[in-house]
Amino acid sequence: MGLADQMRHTEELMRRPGQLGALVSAGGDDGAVLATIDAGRLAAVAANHARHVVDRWWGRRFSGTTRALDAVARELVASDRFCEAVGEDVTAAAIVHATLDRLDADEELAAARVWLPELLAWEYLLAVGLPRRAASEAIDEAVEARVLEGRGSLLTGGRLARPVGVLSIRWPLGDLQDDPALEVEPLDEPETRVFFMAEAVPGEVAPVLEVGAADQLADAVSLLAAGASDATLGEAFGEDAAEAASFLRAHGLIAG
Amino acid sequence: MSDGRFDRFVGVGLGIDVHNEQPDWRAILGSDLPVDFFEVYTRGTLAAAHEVAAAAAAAGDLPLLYHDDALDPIRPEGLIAADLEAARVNMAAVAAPWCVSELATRRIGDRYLDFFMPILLTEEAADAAAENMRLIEAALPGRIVAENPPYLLPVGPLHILEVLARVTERAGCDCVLDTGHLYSFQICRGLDPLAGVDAFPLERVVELHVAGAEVEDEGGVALYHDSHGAAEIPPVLLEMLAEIAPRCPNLRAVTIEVEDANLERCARQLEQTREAVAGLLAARPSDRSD
Ligand SMILES: [Fe+2]
Repeated sequence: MGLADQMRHTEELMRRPGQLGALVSAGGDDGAVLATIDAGRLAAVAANHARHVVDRWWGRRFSGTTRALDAVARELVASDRFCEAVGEDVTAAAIVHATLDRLDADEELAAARVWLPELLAWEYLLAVGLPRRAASEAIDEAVEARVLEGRGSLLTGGRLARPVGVLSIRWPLGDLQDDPALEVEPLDEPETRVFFMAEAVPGEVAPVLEVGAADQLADAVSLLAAGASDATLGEAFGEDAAEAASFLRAHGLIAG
Repeated sequence: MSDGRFDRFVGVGLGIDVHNEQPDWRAILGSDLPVDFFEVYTRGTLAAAHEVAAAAAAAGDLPLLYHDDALDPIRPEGLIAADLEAARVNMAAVAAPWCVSELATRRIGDRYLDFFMPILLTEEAADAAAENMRLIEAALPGRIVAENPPYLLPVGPLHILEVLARVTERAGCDCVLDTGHLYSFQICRGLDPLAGVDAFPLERVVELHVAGAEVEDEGGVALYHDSHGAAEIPPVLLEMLAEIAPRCPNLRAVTIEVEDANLERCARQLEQTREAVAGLLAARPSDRSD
């Protein structure tokens, strides 16, 4: 007990302001120090703090997801997931697990269950999966498996020079990202999209390129990831194989 | 210990982060803005400290102070050797007579915080900080100077000026009074801007800070955001400065913390701040250029 505990409790209260009463009533020197905290001010500071953290940690990378589940994102700072996060949740473990856990558990979010996991997967691929792989930064395999499960994959290796993401899209994700409150209809038919980082230009951050209506391309990519030769591609797709291969080659995605 | 050119009141200077794009400190050095010194904030590479030292020397030998935000001097667990060493080499590179360290931390145990936690307002916290300040001073090539940190949520029964007075007394060090940080504390406690100043040992104050800030209303609670160069200086801070500065017999420097400000804002804030301490500037010995 003493100063170190009081500081630890102060940090915890910034994220879990509701704990103040319990900590104060525990008594002792620590309780007496924490009893000097103005509960109304603590509530305001904690709310403000949570908003700033959500903005800084996830606002840019998961703008649609955090806007859709603003309250969930703000509660996230109180969770153990938050304490376990790597840096500012660079691998997205906290945001992915918290969002999907909450969607599963909360009946009030039933309407969002159909489209939010897809929006989350898309934002993950664009902001975390592809750029972190491109930069040879660590990814969290369990998070990636959970967020992409049943929606797509991230392919690497074989004859692929760089990682390529594939997603099956059922919702107008750009519209949902801009305004998650939107009443949207699903697309008429699911669409396969392929994602990869543009070739790096020195001194610039390479953008992620997104190719729509890309069933054939996605198939070619998965064959290449398995190490398929040009001949194998040709057998699989006939003339279309040449088109897919030349597109991928033009973007520097085929090694050898 | 001699503070070299800071042995007497030097004037009004700018706190600049050499890693920020704004303000362009090289442009300031090349301008005719009335800047009497720089307080240098740097981190990471030593090269940046050397660069600013060389440029300041080339620009009419502008004096430099050093500000280190990484020392976390309030941790009861003690100091971190690598941070101390970084402060030592940076401070030596800019040849500053003192290093400013806020009584706050970004770390608790092994955990990095998402906010700068100010010193708890207890005697135990003041004593732990004083012990750390003594150890820091022993490791640095110059003096350590304690700065009162900004507050959103005071924890503990004391006033920040009581805590600062106790730290300076126990550590035998001087201090920086940051007017904005003091005002942030007074807002939290519903006190007047200058509450507690009369009882404070103002002879310990070698430097005063002003900076841009915004006060946000969060559900009826006023939150002071210490925005530095990203905002204008609230008039109340300039009034506090005008009131406090003449009462500090050992005042050497008034620093405007302008990180992120453009040159136009730097010029405006210099004018406002110099106006607030015009009497002190005019009373400087005539061998100094103004
Ligand atoms: Fe300051």
